[in-house]
Amino acid sequence: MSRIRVGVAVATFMSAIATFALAAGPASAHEVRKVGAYEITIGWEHEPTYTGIENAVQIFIKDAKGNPIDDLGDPPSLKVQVINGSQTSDPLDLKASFDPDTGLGMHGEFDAAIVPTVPGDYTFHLTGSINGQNIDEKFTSSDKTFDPVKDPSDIQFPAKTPSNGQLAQSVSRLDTRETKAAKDAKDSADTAKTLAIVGIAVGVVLGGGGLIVAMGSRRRPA
Amino acid sequence: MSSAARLRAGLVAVAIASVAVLLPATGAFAHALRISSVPDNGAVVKTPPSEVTVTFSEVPDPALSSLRVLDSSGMAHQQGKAAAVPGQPATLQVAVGHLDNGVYTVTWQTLSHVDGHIASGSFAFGVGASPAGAGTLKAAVNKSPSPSGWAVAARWLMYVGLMIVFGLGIFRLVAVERTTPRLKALAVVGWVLAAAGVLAITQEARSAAHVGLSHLLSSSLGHELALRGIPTGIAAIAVIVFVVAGARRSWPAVLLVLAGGAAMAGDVATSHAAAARSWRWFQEGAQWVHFASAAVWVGGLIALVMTLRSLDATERGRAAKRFSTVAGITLLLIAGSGAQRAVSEVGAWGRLWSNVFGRWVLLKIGLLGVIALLGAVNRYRNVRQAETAPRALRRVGALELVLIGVVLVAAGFLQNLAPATSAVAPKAPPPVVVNGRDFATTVRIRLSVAPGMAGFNAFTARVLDYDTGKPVVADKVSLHFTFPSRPDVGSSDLTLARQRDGSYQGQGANLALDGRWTVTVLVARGVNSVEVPLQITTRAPPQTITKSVQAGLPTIYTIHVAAGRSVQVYVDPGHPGVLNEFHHTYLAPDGSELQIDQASIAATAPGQSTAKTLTTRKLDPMGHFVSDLPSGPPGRYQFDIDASTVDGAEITAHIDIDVR
Repeated sequence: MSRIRVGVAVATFMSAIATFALAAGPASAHEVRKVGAYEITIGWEHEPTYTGIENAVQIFIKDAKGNPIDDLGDPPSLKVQVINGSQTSDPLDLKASFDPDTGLGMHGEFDAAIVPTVPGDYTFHLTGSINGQNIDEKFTSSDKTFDPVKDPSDIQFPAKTPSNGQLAQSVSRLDTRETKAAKDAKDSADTAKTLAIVGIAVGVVLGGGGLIVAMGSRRRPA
Repeated sequence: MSSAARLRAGLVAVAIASVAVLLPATGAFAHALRISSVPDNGAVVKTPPSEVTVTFSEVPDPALSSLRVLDSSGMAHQQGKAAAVPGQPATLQVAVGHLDNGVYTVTWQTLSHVDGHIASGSFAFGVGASPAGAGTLKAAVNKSPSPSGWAVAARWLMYVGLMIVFGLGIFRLVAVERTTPRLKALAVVGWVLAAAGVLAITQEARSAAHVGLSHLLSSSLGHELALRGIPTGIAAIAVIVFVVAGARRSWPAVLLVLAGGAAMAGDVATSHAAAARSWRWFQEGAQWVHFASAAVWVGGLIALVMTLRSLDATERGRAAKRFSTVAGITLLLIAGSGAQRAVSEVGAWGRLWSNVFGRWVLLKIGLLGVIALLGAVNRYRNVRQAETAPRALRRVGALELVLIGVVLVAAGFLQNLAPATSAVAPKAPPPVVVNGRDFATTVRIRLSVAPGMAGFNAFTARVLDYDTGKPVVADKVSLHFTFPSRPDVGSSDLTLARQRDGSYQGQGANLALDGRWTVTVLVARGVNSVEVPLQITTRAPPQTITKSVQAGLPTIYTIHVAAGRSVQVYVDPGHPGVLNEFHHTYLAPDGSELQIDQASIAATAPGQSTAKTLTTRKLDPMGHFVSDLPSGPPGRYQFDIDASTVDGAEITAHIDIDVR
């Protein structure tokens, strides 16, 4: 009896977890948009989103009845490009979160891994098709959609360390400064070299002239 | 007068005029306009204030001034009449009932205690809501009504009358040796015009301020009437003596000059010059010199033109020559004192064109230039022919008088308008400025926040390349605000717009509370995007201090700070050379003690340049503290108060207290 009770309790607990997991939508800020017969929910997988930390473009797709879509076709044509300023990434593959073999993952979720490297607003450009429905939609971060990307200094403790992007910018700046400093040093050295040659030449001319004058005065009869 | 003597006189006059212009020009106000207020224009306060306090550019007459606090539906919330804050006559305050969350507009009207001029204006603040968000935030309005035709005419009458009385006396003393019947008649006419002008000015001001006759003498308008009217009344006696005395006696003319000069001084004491914040005696002196010099010229010219026919040829020639010399000197004095007054009341070249007051000054200067040319024609051509052919002198003189009449209309307008210096927006406090750079030292940021107080602010960011110092062109510059000491206060964002000068600007009420904010500036420019973290501490709003003195007790000072809160302080026993206790108690708008988390006092002793943090103890569980002020010399001690409430609000205040 006690074994049966324990089994029922475990089964109830597992069912509750499974129900919760299946019912749970995206935890962080996402944009929801109707596109044809589908509802697309899109955002960052992890929010707040920090530079230099692995993240992903996270998409949830449901049909008109609210059922999650797991199959995007074979091969799937839906891709996402990430845009920041004037930079656009290559089309990224969207990988289904749900694995029918193991039953793990979230139904209707697709992710495209990316590491955002600079802070600011990002745009996700979704192109391709879902079961014959053409998709060409852009989604941009904002306070009403999904988060812009921030530097992680807010959450670093106890020491604040720069992100890879910041280090890259810093190295780039130092390189520029080093190049300029080397050029300035070379210019200064060239100038000094030229001045030295001119000085030597003037010295030779003046010394020679002095010698000639001195010799001339000796030969002059008293 | 020999040519050398004339030259010396001219140089003396030029020197006086130069000194007058070079001495410091202090802005004249003469219209009680709003300088600051608590709450300030655009402020967002969390706790409703129990009173509204407005500080004006000069002392208003509380009995004839008003403060009204209106909500968005127009309902008034002030309780009782506005009254002056004790010890601060230029500050009016009015109590308000409980204010719910919302936007409130304060409308004010003042009658200047100095010159009786009326001014009005309005500003807005929010309780738990931003006036900007409600779309009601505008620059605080300061305005003074345009002078009426009657007000200008009244001034014109008084000016002409007093100038005749004063200038006629000088003319009689300097230019002629007998008092002709025409001069006597002119003296009577001058006094009548002056008296009519004084009465008309009072009536016009009384009418504009809606002051009944029964209250006239007890109001500031009655004070002005006395300043102008009493010497003008006394001048009547001088005029009578001048009329009845013998023609060859010159002392009655001295009486006329003294009485006219006193009446002019009475008018100067109620003019813009009297509203000077410093060097008032000098400003009033310069104004009197300006008035008296013009009176010598105008009154003398009228007398000359009117009496030319009644003088014989020799008298005529002598009078014309002597008056011409005096007029030359007075012209220099008018120019010098006028320039000084213009500098004081206009203050900047641009305001000569941009401001109504400045344009009237320009008109006056232009007309004076034309009059001076006509005077030169008389001086170098017609005066010589005065004995034989006085007609030309009379004609040009009459033309001068017509133009002078127009100049006096301009003077009448100027006296009724707020000077350009006071029409300028109240001087804003300097913005809070913070600087920063990104980790990779690619950009420098200079962020200025105006006014820098909790509430609505204007944000200006200058983004410069770290190495070259050139402005950076970004796709987007935005600010992200967080309030670390209060995690429950949500973060907010503000996107700045690029300006023509390369800076980025925006406005918002993002700094909603007093205290230290973290502002992260995002400079978005593709792969070179960076964030620059900055720390901004809001500026404490202007504080007002009231003082309570009771025999046998230490003087208690109440410092009114932001959001209707106050800090009561006193020094016990308040004597030098002993250990003093500096008591400080923090009060909510309703007068109850605030619960204070921590309080610290930094005191600077007289003659010291650095402050010392005092040992502080809490005397009750709420907000009463005492700090030990070590034995020190007599003098003025400065106390900087810094406290925070249990809910994280910062309270900062400053007070200087004499320990003697």
